[in-house]
Amino acid sequence: MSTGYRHDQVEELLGAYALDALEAAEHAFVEAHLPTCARCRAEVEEFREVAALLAHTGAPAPPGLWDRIAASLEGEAPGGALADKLSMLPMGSGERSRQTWRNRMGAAVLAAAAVVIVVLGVQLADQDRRLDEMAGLLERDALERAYQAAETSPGAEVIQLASFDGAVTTRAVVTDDGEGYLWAADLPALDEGRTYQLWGDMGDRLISLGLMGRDPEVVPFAASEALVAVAITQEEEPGVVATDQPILAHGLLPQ
Amino acid sequence: MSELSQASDANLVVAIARWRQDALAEAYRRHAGAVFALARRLLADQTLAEEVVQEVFLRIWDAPEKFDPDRGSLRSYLLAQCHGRSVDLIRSEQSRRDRELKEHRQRAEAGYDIEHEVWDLAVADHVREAIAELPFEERKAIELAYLGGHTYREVASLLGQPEGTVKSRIRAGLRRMRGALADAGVGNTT
Repeated sequence: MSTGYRHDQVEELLGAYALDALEAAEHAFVEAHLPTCARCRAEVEEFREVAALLAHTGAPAPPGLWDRIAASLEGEAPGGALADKLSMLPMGSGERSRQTWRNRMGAAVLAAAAVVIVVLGVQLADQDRRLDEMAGLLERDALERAYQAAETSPGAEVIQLASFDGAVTTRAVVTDDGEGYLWAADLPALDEGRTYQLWGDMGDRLISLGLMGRDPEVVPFAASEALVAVAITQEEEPGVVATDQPILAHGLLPQ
Repeated sequence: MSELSQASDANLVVAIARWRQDALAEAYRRHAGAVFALARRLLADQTLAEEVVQEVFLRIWDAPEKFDPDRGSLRSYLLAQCHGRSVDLIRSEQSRRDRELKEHRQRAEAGYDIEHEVWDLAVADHVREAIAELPFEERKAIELAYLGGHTYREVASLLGQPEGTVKSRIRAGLRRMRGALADAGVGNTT
């Protein structure tokens, strides 16, 4: 589709475009041109890097702002505190307890959350594959060494994780300075397309501490002071923002 | 925590894509100050600036795939998001813009300039040198557009110069700075 502008005319606009200094019509012309022109895209990115150097850090962001952001992350999904969930999970009857939880959450909330989860899940499936190649965050050998180092570090505490029926037991270690490592090598490998997910109970809410993959060995996590307990669920790839699955194993942190 | 505090920005975004809130918290710790400062600078309003910061960080949480580490640094990505959203807000409110125009006229008269806005001591000298190399008219045009949130047409009107000239000066100035910073080994922090 023709933008009505020649390449050199668009080029002239790139500086103002990178600084958001075009008016709507010209902005639209540039937007239409960029997907077709790697050279112009590169120039815009370079200008934005330069512009970023002109912005300064100033003081830290205002206190309390992060708490509001964190709170709204949880607001987009029907997450409940682990304590609530556990109190509703009678031994060995995951299905019924899930039903109770669903009733409690309300169908509309759950449906809205399901849409969010599906949309985000689809977006993330692709990205996860691409990013897996560059990640290197989960190198097994390094993490095993990190686990062993953590376990023998002064002040470290070992947490036992257990399921309600005793089928799954494993352990985690939390160091004095808040590093946590879950020993997950004893968990059975899951089918393709499934993943374990690690959750943290913050006292009043349950947050995702990370995906563990289908055959994890050692999983690092941040054990902040607010963390009361950790729990493991089994989910569809690429994980969820809030779980409605039974807790496979959980363990309380030392207070 | 040390795993994340040592992770590159690109790896932080990988972890964010895996629903790790602690990774988002680390990205926030590194960059929220700069994002907030830019938003407040543009909007001259604490509450609105906080809302923009919130939007920017929720957006990277919801759509981490929009950030492409091959195309630039996380910091410049977040600042570009912040800048775009802030100028949308400015331009959606005529009375605010009028007030801003007045303020920026006063600042321009008071000799205010971007040399005071540089963010990091480690690169501050290089950035200052690069700014110092800019002809005054280019510097002024960039300053009013980026830190003032004005369109190039508004900048032209503020400076009493032809629009085409201002448009060219913004691009020429950015190219000149990019060249100077690249020579000094600054500017690509990906």
